[in-house]
Amino acid sequence: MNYLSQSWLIDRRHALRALGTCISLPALECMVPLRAAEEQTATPKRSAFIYLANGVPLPALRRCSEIFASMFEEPKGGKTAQRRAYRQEGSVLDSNLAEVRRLEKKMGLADKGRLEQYLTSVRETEIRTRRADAWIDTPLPAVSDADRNRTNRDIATTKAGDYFRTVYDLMVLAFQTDVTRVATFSLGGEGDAFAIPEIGITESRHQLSHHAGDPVYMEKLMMYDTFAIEQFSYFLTRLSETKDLSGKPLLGSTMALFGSGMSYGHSHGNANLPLVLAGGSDLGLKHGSHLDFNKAAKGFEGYSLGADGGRITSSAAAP
Amino acid sequence: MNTDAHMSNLLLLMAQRMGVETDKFGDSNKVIEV
Repeated sequence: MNYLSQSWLIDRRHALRALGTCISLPALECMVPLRAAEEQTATPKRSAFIYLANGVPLPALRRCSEIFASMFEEPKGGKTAQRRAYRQEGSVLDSNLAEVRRLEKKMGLADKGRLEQYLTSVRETEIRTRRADAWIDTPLPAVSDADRNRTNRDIATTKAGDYFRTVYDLMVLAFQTDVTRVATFSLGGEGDAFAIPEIGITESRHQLSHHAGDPVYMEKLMMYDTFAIEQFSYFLTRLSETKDLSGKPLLGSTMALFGSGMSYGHSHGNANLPLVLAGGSDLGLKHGSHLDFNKAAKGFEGYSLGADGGRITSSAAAP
Repeated sequence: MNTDAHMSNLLLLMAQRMGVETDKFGDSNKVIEV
């Protein structure tokens, strides 16, 4: 069973905490394509996407070759060096924990609360380290030359579609080979969404979403979102064409969630989120319907399209 | 606005379908039926 969450998850902390209770495989997180071409620094960039329960962000994978290597290649320096690094990290955590416990006895209630948050972070790091250690001995899955050539490459940010589809290919490959069962993919952070020059859009989506009613910007915003949903469609098609380890289409065992944390970016409206949930028919999900939750809202009187791009007509409608 | 339409209700559904034994997820107040 796969679980794919592709959205700017509102409840991402809770999501990760819940998933952590049942997923023992590494989570694949792909983030912010624009950063793919940036220089690597000593301080890895942090994801704005997935957080641990205590708010600590996890690092993201950005370059396709980096994602590929993390799943299908031996660790740099070999398994022994990798295991030594993990165990050294575990040892540092143990020493740190002992020191913290000594300090705890001298703390007031407020500080103990903060300390508990810190200890939660330490415990979760320990769990991840143990899992990573155990994972080292798991044999790497076989990847065909065709799949390797298609996905193990870095793509210029000016080729957004190629980048999106390649990341989606990597996710399909990950599910197909059961390297992971959870993957998240952000098509761009709130502050650094990228342009799509291949369809004539040089503005970022963020810029377009603050259109102030400009019809040209609104047209481009529609083109942008159409492009994004077409790439998602590609992903679903690939899932339907690819068989899992039991010979059934991956789409049936994969729940794919696409959407945004905002419904109307111009005023940062974060109610009435447009979401697409696809796949998962083998898990009992029934599709082909549109669920409109506004219709159950008190005072709902239907929809009307206004100068701001559309609002709910309702005596109780939120702004 | 439907104040009962929490996104966490959808996430709860997904968590349950992947085997997480829980009836609560963040600020969920029910599970969405799909």
